[in-house]
Amino acid sequence: MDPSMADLNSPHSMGTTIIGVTYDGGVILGADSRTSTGMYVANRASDKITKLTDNVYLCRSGSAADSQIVSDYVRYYLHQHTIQLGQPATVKVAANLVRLISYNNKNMLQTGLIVGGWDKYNGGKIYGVPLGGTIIEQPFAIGGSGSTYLYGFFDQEWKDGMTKDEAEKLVVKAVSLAIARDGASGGFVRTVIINSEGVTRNFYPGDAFPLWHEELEPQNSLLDILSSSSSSEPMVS
Amino acid sequence: MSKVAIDVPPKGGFSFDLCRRNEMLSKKGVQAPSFLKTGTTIVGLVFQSSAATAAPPTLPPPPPLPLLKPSSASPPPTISTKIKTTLYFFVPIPGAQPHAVILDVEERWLLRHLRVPTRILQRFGSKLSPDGVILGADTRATEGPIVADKNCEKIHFMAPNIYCCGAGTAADTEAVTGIFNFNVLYMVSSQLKLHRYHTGRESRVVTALTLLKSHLFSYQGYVQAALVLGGVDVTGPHLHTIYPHGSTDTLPFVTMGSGSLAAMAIFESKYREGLTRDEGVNLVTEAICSGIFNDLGSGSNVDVCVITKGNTDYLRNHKLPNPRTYVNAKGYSFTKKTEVLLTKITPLREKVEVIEGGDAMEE
Repeated sequence: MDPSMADLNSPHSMGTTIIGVTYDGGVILGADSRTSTGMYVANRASDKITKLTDNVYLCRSGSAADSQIVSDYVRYYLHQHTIQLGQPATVKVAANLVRLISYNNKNMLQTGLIVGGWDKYNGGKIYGVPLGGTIIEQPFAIGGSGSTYLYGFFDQEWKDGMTKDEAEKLVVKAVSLAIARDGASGGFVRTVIINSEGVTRNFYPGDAFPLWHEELEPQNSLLDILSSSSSSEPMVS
Repeated sequence: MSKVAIDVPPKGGFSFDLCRRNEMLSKKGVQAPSFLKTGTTIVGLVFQSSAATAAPPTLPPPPPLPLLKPSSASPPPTISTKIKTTLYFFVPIPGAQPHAVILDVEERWLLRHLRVPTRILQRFGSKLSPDGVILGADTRATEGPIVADKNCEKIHFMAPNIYCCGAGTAADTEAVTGIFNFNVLYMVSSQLKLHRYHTGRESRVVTALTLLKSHLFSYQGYVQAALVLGGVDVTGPHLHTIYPHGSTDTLPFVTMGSGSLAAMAIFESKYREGLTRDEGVNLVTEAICSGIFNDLGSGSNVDVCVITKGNTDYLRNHKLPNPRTYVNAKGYSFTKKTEVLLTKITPLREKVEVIEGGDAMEE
């Protein structure tokens, strides 16, 4: 297989950064928007936060096909469960359904998921369901290839009982930091806020967050940088 | 091998039993048959027919679900549903229009390793009131370094309002989306037709998407078909890509196949929301041409398919940027023609003439 075809035949995966954070009154889920096949960005505007029910959403990472199929199955089971139960499903039930599928098919699936939502019994909850099918309830969860750069950041920045705006700013900042350092994460930041009032979807394009260390201003073309800069080294601002 | 030892695959499955045998053979030096690859450029685009106005138009209330009536359904374009047996490998008559290669069941089986690297570009118009989807594709099918088919069809019919461009192994693409079924169990277009009969409604793009996605996922990427699915249904125009492992994306514009990078470059620089139909067709053509000229796996001509509400235009060979330049004006002449000694025509079906007014049979 020649190198140019190698990328296009790679499995479609989401090198990703996904985050789920609880705050006082609900949860905020955040993700980047890059889906890659090998070294090519197949989709620079993907939506990795998918709806399971009106009050429970799922952040997907890992293999795109596997995570889409898992979310489709769970959505189907949850829909049935909601009809049988007669009221909205709880986040715990949703997370356990995700966990059962992930665990029982662990040899064949490669997907790390974060389940987040709000229900009237327990309020806002975040459950991490990483690769092997563990389920772990956490005040905040991070996942995907970009999450490795965020463990230290969250250790320092995380506080219990944040307000909605504080929490959203934290999520956006974290995802943008991961995008800056992880090659497999990129694009823009999507957030979903779930609380007792409902669901709000937000979208933060590249210019919504500040430039981090050694990041350059976005330019229209390399020629602009070369012609405008007076120094001999073009990439030094 | 005794009959008992042969495992019958469970209904609906694919049997990998011969894999070990194939491995053993290749270790002993037996050459496996090569794949026919079709490098392709396939494109799709959604456009807006009216010029972009200042105020975004509000969405009209959703129309009542139309009942499927034979008269209202637009007939599928003739080229894609003709079942002829025309092999392109014969010497073409100079000056004749390039025609579609439509193979019968046996020929398709013989060419089952034909691979179609394609580029599929798709584009949307404005999302607020998009009018349709434009799909585009190149027409080259390659077998290693050789062009096996200079004018193949990569835009396949799924439903009168849904078309699918296929990249990857041609037999797989054709079998998955088309009428001829060899190594896959169900053809999505047949399933869609049955579904239409069952529900009495026009097919929806998400139906086709789910059927294709679950089929490809169940084969875990071994069915090497990368598809671009586009169509217009009651809910509006839709454009999706489906990767061989079963993952899907929904986007305003997409490119797939070996020439996708060249085509995406054109799209990323020239695409904007609110393209009109003609602008859209031009952009799609330009992107496919970019793939044709910059990618070795894509070539020949540009096919375009414009799908709007209630109407589909399949522009087969919309652009022919690679004409045959040196054509012998004298034409072909064959020496030593065989003399025709006798012409006898025997009709296979006897024409029976009914004579009115004969006596009724009496006992």
